[in-house]
Amino acid sequence: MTKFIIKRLLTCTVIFFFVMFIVYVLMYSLPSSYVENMAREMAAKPGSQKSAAQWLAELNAQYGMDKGVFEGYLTWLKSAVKGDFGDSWAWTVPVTEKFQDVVWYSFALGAVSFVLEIIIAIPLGVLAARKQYSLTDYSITVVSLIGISLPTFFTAIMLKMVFAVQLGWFDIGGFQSRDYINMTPVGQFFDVVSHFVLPALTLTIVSIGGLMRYTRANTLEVLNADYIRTARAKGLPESKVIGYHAFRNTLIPIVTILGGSLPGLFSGALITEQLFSIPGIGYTSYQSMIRGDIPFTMFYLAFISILTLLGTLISDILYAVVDPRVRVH
Amino acid sequence: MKNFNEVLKEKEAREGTGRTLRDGEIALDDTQRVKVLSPGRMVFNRFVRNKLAIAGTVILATMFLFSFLCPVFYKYGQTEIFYKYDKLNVDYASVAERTSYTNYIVDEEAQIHYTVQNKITSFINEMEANGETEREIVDESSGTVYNLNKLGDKVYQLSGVLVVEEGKLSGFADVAKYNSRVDKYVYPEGTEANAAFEKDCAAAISAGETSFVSGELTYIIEDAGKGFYNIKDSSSAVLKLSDGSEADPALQEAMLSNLGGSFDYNGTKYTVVGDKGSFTLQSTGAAQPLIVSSLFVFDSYEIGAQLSDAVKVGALLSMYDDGKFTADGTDYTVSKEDGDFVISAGSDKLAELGTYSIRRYSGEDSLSLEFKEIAATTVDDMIANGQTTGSFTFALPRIDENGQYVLDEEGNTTTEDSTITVTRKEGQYVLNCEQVTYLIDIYAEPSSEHIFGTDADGMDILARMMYGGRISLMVGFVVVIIELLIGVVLGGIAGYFGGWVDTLIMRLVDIFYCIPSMPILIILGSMFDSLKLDSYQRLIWMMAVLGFLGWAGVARMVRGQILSLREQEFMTAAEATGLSTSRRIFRHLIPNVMPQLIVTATMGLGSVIITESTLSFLGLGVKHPLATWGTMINSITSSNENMIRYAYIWIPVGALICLTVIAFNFVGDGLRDAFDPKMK
Repeated sequence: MTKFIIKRLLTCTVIFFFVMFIVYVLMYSLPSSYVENMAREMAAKPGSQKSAAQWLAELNAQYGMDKGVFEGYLTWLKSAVKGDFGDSWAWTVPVTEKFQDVVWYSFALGAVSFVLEIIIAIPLGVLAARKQYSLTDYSITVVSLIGISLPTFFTAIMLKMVFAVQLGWFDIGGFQSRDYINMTPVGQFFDVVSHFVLPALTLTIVSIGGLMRYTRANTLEVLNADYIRTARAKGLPESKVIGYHAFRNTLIPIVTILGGSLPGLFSGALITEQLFSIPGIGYTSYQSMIRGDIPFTMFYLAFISILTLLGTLISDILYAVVDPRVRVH
Repeated sequence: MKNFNEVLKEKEAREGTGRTLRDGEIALDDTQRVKVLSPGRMVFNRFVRNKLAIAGTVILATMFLFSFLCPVFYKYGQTEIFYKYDKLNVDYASVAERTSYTNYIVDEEAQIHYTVQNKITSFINEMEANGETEREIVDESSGTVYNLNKLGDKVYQLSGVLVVEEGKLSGFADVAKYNSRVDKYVYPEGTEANAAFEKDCAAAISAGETSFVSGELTYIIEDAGKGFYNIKDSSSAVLKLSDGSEADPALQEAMLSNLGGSFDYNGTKYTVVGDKGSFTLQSTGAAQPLIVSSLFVFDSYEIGAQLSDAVKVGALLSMYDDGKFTADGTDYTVSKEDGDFVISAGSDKLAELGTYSIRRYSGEDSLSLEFKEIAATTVDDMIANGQTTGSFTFALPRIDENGQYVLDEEGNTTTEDSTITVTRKEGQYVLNCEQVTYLIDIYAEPSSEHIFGTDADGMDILARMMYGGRISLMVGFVVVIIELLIGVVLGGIAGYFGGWVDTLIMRLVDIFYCIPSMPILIILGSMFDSLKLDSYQRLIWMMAVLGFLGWAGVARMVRGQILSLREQEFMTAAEATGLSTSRRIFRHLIPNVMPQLIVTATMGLGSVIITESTLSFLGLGVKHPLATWGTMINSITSSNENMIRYAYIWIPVGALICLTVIAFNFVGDGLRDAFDPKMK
């Protein structure tokens, strides 16, 4: 097992090395006029303490943009490994500092919608499989297909329109009200919670379909298995057959993919956070990207890549851990 | 060799169908019972039985018709801008009552001191207040006396004696220098001292005079300062007249004897001014008008025509007189018609004299006389009734999109009756009207012309929906084809050959699986923005990048399929029969991967469309003027006010995206079930 994990970790490192290389090449081949423009704009901003030349020089020092591709990449990698990602252009603070400020908003949002997704999708998926070809099954299938098909931005503005504009239950964006400072700590907590309702709902709606279908397909497979027939033949009550024998086996693949999506909780929701102005990692990096903030963008891409690799790794390991039939090799 | 279906058909022809046995059962080998279907037919039948899949197919077919066929027949294009005539409340004109007098100078040569010119208005105001009709004004700097008198209502005349420069006297010769401190005369070389002159000179200097007569000659004294004086005599002085000729010596004589004073010569009164060896001879004639001051405004009959100052002066001077005058060689008359003074040349009416300055709000004098008259009457009524608002109706010209007048077939301006409201505002009157203007028809309400109305650029929403569908579907297909090409080739190679090739390709797949495509597309989008790339180029780039980043999933799926197919018996059989590698791959492996590929492609189409519309929604995908669904939604929902107001635009557009993607997913799902019923 340890050997397996070490082997996988090494593979991941190699993949990460190449992924970041491709990303670096992309950044490296951005037209220099574009980078210079961005640096100049950055320097022209009020409160900027560096000139455009200084920004560029710093970028070159940190990212080796003035050297060859390989050499430059190694320069970047060297400082990145030490945890030094430079100063953000758009936020004018060190990249890692900005990251620590914002990542927890994203995590909170991700965690809430993750829990909601599990609570809603798994029981419905199992239900659909138990009553295959029934009206319930069809409805759940249709709902999950619609969930998969809804573009995030459309869901978000529909929710905004209905709940923020028509009903006026929530604010249209942002993560705290205007009079946040004057509230009691409890009021402040509930204020932030109310601002997270719509984004979390959006994320849940667009992600629920996939998990629902997956649960249904897996439950169906399990229900067709021989040990279920045996369990039924033993005369076990249906609740025990489903709840004990079938569900635990259904959980194997589900736990695997859910475990794999755990790192994704930190990656933030690019579109949703942007649309609801939740200052999480998604919103921050979207703003950085459209403003040409190369340091933050490079960091974000590295971060996302690591999370993706970590997700695959966790789900592979969990697969082996949860299901003893799977032989690690 | 006959296939089984043909055998059955023969049997059917021979025996007929529906042979029933004892209990009404159909025989086991009856053709009604036994029907062998091709695998394709079986898939088709299973697909058709799936209601969701059929619904998806119908939606997709409609969407294709809507996006690709409808634009051919629809009357509007995607970038066609629509215009309309609309009433726009504009500040059309302003009316201001003239309250300060305007001065017209009668004779340009007349030298009138500026203090007098500047004070005329205040003098007139004082006279108006006191009810005076005449006043004498003295220019304190020169002592000239002017006369200001009222010619009639709103017209005053400043008259005075015109001073004419007749000639200049110069050329005095040096005689001596006198030092008053030591009382000594210094003569130039070659001249001798003259006691009589010295005596007269001393008397003149001590008397403070500047000229004196001694003997035959007139001398002038110039103070050189510090007690020195230069003395000059008139022996060589010459009076040159203004016309260049030499003056009558008698006149020069008279002038010399009256330096610094005035004298009469041949019945004309002359004045001599000047010092230091140069004197100017001025004559003063009879009193004549110098400045005419008036409150009247000249409104030309011809729009924009300007009267020359000479005509204006002539008109003002003669309007309360006989009404005839000549200016610039033309005869004019001023007469009173219907209470207004009208200037005409012969039978041509040129201008009217009004009391209001009526101009376009921009300050241009481009209004017709009829308009000015009606406006003036309205304002008069308002003043008489003590109102602050009033209105009148006038036929105003229409204006097209370029601000030009709209002409009819004969080249005349077309007009439309407009109600013009007059409002008193800070001493002047502002004329507002609902002017009919040719405008871009933005955010038009849904109508029979535009079923979904028009957008912020005045383009037809329905047309843009159709063309947007084209872009979305095209992007979907192109990207999926690129993904399939790369994915099938690389996945196929990896799966078929295995070994190190497989490892290498699968690591490449891992790498591409890991690259975060959305952030990269956003970065590229903002880079294209800053490079101001053409919208078609952007579209091509976006499709290429989407395809290039998305093939990893296809490759992984194809490899997995081929790995498992490779081990199956039919492949061993194919190999055993000695089929070539290419035949084994293309004839036996690929057809078996096809079902999975079709399903993946169909589902993939949906997700590519979502990605494209999301990017366009963020403004980083396909750009204006190309229509896309994402951009259409973004252009409205970017402001909350528009989002609420124009919900009838963005909700249908969003529904189109959702419907298309849902349809692709329904069809994909249906196909998967049809291909592999075990999975259902």
